Amino acid sequence: MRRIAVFIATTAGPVAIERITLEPAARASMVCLGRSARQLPLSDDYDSFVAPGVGAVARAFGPFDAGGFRMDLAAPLSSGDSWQLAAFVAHAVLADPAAELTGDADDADVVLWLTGAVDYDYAVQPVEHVAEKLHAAEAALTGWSAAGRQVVLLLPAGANHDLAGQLLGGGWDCRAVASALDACAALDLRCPAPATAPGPAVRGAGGRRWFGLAALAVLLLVALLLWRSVADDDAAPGPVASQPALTLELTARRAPAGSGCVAVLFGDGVPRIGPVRGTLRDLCGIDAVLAVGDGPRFVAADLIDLHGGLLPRERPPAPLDGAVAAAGPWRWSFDLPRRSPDGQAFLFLAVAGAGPVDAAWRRLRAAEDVEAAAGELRRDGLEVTVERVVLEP
Amino acid sequence: MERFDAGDKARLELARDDFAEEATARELLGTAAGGQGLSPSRLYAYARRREGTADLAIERRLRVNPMLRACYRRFVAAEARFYAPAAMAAATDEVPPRRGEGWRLTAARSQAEPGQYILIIELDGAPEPDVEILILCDRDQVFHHFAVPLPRRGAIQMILDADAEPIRLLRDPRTEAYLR
Repeated sequence: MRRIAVFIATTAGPVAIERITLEPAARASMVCLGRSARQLPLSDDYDSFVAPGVGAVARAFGPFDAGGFRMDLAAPLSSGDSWQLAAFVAHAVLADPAAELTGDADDADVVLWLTGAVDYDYAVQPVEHVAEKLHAAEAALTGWSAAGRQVVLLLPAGANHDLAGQLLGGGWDCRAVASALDACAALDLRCPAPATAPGPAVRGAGGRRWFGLAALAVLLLVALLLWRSVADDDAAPGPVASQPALTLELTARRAPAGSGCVAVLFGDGVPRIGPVRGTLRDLCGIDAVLAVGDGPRFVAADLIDLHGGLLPRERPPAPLDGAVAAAGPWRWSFDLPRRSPDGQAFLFLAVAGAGPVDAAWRRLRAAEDVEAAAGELRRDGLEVTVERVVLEP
Repeated sequence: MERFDAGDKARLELARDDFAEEATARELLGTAAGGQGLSPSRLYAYARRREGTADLAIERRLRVNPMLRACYRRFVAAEARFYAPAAMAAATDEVPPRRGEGWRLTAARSQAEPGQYILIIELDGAPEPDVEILILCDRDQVFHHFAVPLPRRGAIQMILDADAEPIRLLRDPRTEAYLR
C-alpha cells in the first residue's frame, strides 16, 4: 500500500489534504478545517467539483454512494480554482485500492505538491502566483526531500511548468500535466481513460482493463505535451502574463452561530469566514490579501472605512508604503467594533509599479475624486485598484 | 399570620391572569416600576433579530415575565415561515428529528468525526429554500436565534460540534423550532 500525501500549493505555503470521507448524512459535499466543525467558504466550489453531472471528480470516479464528501484541509484556502488538481488527485488516491491518502508528510512514501484548475473534461488550466507558491513551499519541499520522501511537483503544462522549472533548477521531479488524467498516469494511480463517458464506476474494475487504459492515457499525454509544446513556442508573451495585475481578496469574519462578535474579537470564538457582501449584521472584521504577481514590486495599499469604524488589528506591512520594493502577497486584518445603523462603505486602494509609487499613493489618498485620480495614474503606467464595498445595515 | 383561603381556585387564576396582563401592559407601555419600559416595537424588533445580538435587558425581562414571553412568542410565530412542534415523545434518536408542515429538520452524527453533527433542513417542494434564521424555543420558553447558511442542492446544511448550542437544544424533544 503506497501512502501518498497531497499538498495544495498556495501562496501561504503548502496545505495538506488531511482526509476525504464520505458522509452518508450530508446532502452536499463540504470542506472543513483540520477536522473541526469549521466549514470553509470553499465548500460550495468543492461540492460543484465533485457533484454528478457538473464535477470532474464524479465523472472520473463516480457514481458514489448517497451523501456528500467531506474534505479536511490543514489550513484555510481563500479562493480560486488552483486547488482542484490536488483535490482530483486526492480522490484518485481514494479510489485506488493500492494507495492510501495521508495528511502527514512524515508518514508518506510519496509527497505531492500540486497546483492547477481542472475542468469537466479533465483539462488542467493554468493558474497564477506560481512563483509565490514555490517560494512559500521552499522550506517544506527541501525538508521533505531531506527526509527521504519521494517529492513530486505537478503543474499545468506550458508557462506555469516552464516558470517552475526555471525557479527550481535541477534535482526536482517537476512534471507538466495537461489533463488531470495525466496526473493519475504519472503517479501510477487508477484513473479512467479520457474517452470515458460520464458516470462510470472506477472501483472494482478489472486490472487488465486498467493496463489498456493507462497505456491509452500515456499516449494521449505524450500527444498533448507535444501539442502544448508547439503551441507554447508559437505563442507570443502577452502583457497579462508579463505584468500580472493587482489581485485583492477580501474575506469577512462573521460571528459564529449562537454567538456574537464579542466572542470573536475578545474571546476564543471561531468566526465564520465568507465573502464581504450582504449585510453588516454579525460582521466582526475584514481580512485582506493583496498579491501583485511574480517578483518584487513597489506597492502602496490600504483599506479605508468611509464611516471611520474600522480598527486595524494589524497595520499593513511596512513595504506597503510604496517606497520599497517587495514581493507579496500581503495580508492584514481589520476588526469592526462599531457598525453604522445606516450601512457601511469600505474603500480599498492600491497602487503598484516598477519604481517607487509613494508620491502617486499620496496623490491618490489626497484626491477628492478617487476614480479620476486612479485614471490619471493608470495613464502614467501604474496599476491602480479601487474597490468599493457597500454593506447594508 | 394572615391565612390565605385557596378554596376558590378559579378566582385565583383569574386574578393571576389579570395581574400578568397588567404587568405585561406596564412593561410594554413603559410604566413598570424600577426602570424604563419595553416598547412593543423594541420587543418586535428583538423577535425579528438575527443571531448573536442578545439584548440582556430584554432577556432579563423575558425571563421573569411569562406574559411578556408569551407576547414575544406570538411575535416570533407571526414572523416565522415554518414551525415544528416538540418532537415525538417516543423518538429514540440522539437528536430527535423535527417535522412541521412543509419542512423537516434532522441531525445525524458525522461519520468522519463522531463528535460532530450534520444538521439538515429541508423544505418540501422548495429546491432553494429562502430562509435565514433558525429559532429554537427551549422548554423554559427561551428563544435562541441562529443564522443558517445558504441552501445547497435543495437543503440547508450545517456541521456542528456535539456541544454546540443548536444540538444541545435539539437533543431535548421539548424544544420547538421555527424557521424564518
